[in-house]
Amino acid sequence: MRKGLCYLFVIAILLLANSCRKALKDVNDYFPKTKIVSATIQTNGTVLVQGVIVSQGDAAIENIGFCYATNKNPNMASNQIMVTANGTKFSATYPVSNFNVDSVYYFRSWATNQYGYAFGNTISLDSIIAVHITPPCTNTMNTVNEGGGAGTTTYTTIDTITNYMNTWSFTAQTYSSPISVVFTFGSAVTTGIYKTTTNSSPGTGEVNIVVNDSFDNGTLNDGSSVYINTIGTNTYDISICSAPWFNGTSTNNFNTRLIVQ
Amino acid sequence: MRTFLKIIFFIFFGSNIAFGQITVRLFNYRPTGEFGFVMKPLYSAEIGWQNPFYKSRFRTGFSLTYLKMKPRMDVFPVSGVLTDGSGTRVLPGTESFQKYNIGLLIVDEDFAFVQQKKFNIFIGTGIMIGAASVNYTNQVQSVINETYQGGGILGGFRFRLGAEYIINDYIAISIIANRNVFLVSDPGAINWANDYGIGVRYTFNAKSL
Repeated sequence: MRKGLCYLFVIAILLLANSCRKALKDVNDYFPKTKIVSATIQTNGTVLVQGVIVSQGDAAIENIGFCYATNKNPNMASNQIMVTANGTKFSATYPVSNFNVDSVYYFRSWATNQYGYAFGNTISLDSIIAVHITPPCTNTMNTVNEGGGAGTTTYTTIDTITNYMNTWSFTAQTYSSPISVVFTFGSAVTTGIYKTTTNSSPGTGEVNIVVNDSFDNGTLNDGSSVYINTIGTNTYDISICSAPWFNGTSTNNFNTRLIVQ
Repeated sequence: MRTFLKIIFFIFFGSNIAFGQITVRLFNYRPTGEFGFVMKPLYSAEIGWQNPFYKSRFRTGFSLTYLKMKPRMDVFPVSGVLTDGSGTRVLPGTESFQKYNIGLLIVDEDFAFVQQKKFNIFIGTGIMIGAASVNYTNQVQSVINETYQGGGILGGFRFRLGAEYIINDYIAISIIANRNVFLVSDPGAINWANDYGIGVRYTFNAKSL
C-alpha cells in the first residue's frame, strides 16, 4: 500500500512539474500584439506599410502580415499580405494597381500564435496615386527612333504585357522599315524609373530592351532610364530618351514613347 | 450527465451515512496552462467521505465535485492556414464554448507528516475520473468546421497539501491546496488546474472510533 502510494507521489510530482503556470490575468495577453506604424504612398504609387511587434503574446508568433479594405475594420483575409518579420519589424508593399484614387483605404496589421490572432491599429489612406514621372525628353506618342540617322517611325502593333515566370514582357513593331522592340521587365510594370540591362533575365526595377530591324539588332546598354507613368488601369506611358545601344557596327541613341496595356 | 451524477452521489453519500464521516470543502478552482487561457476560475464545492487520521498517518477519502466552467471569452479568435492554387493564406475563424460542465469522482490517499492531537499537516494524491457535458464550435472558413455537443471523459491525478485542525471529536476544519492533472481529456480544452479551499469534516459516530 505504502509502496504504491510512493509511486503515485512520484508520478504526481513529475506530472505536476508542468502544471504550475498560472493563467494570465488578461486573456488578451495570450495573443500577439502588433502595431502598424506607417502606411505611406511611394512615388510610384505603391503603398509601403510598416509594422512592429509589440509583444508575441504567450507563444511564438506563427504568421504575421497586413490587410486592408475600404471599410474601417478590414478582415484578416482582405487583401492579405503575409510577411516575415525582421526582428520586431515587418513591412510589405501593395502595388499601385490595387487602389482607386477616389477611395479611402484602411490598413491594419495582424499576427497569429497558437492561441489565436489579433489585429493591430488601423491607418487610413486616401488619394493613392503615383507621383507623375517627367521624362527629360518629349517624344511623339507611339513612335520610335533607333538613332544612327534613321527616321522616326510609328508603331503599328503594340502587344499587351504578359507575365510569365516573374518577367513582364511585350513587343512593339512598326510596319514600314520594320523595327521590332521587345521589352522584358524584371518586376511588375508600374509608375517609376526603370534601368536598362543587357541581362536577358532582368532583376527588380530593370528592363531588357532588344531592338531588331531589317539590318541590325542589339540590346540597349546597361544603365539608361526608362520612364513609366501609370495613366489608367493597367495602362502605362513609357518613354526612353537617348539610350545608347550597339547595333553591331556602331553605337546609336534610342528614343521612343508608347502607351502599353 | 445528470444520471451519472445521481448514481455516483447516492453511492457515495450512502457510504458517508454508513461510515459516518462527511466532508464538505468549498474551493476556488483555477485552471492553469492552456486550460487557464480558455476557462475562468470558479468557486465550487466538494462533498465526500473521509477517514480521520486515527491511529495512523494515512487516510483514504472519496469525494464528488461539479464544475460549471465558463469561458474567458464569448468568442475566441482562431485562425487556420489555407493553401490552394491561389497561394497560402491565413484565414480568421471563431471558437466558442456554449457549455463545459464537469462532474468528478475523486479517490484520495493522504499522509500526515505532522500529526498532533489537534493538528495535522498532510500531503496526498488522488485519482480523478469524471464526465463532461460539452457544447462548442470551432469554425475557420474553408479550413475547420467543427461542432460538438455531447459528453466527454476525464481522467487524471491530483496532488495536495493541507492542514487540519480538530475542534472536537465531531468537527475538524481544514485548508487544502490541490494541483490537478488530467491525462485523459476528450474532448480537449481541460488539462491543468489548481484549487484552494477550506473544508469541514463532521463525524456522526465519533464515540465509536
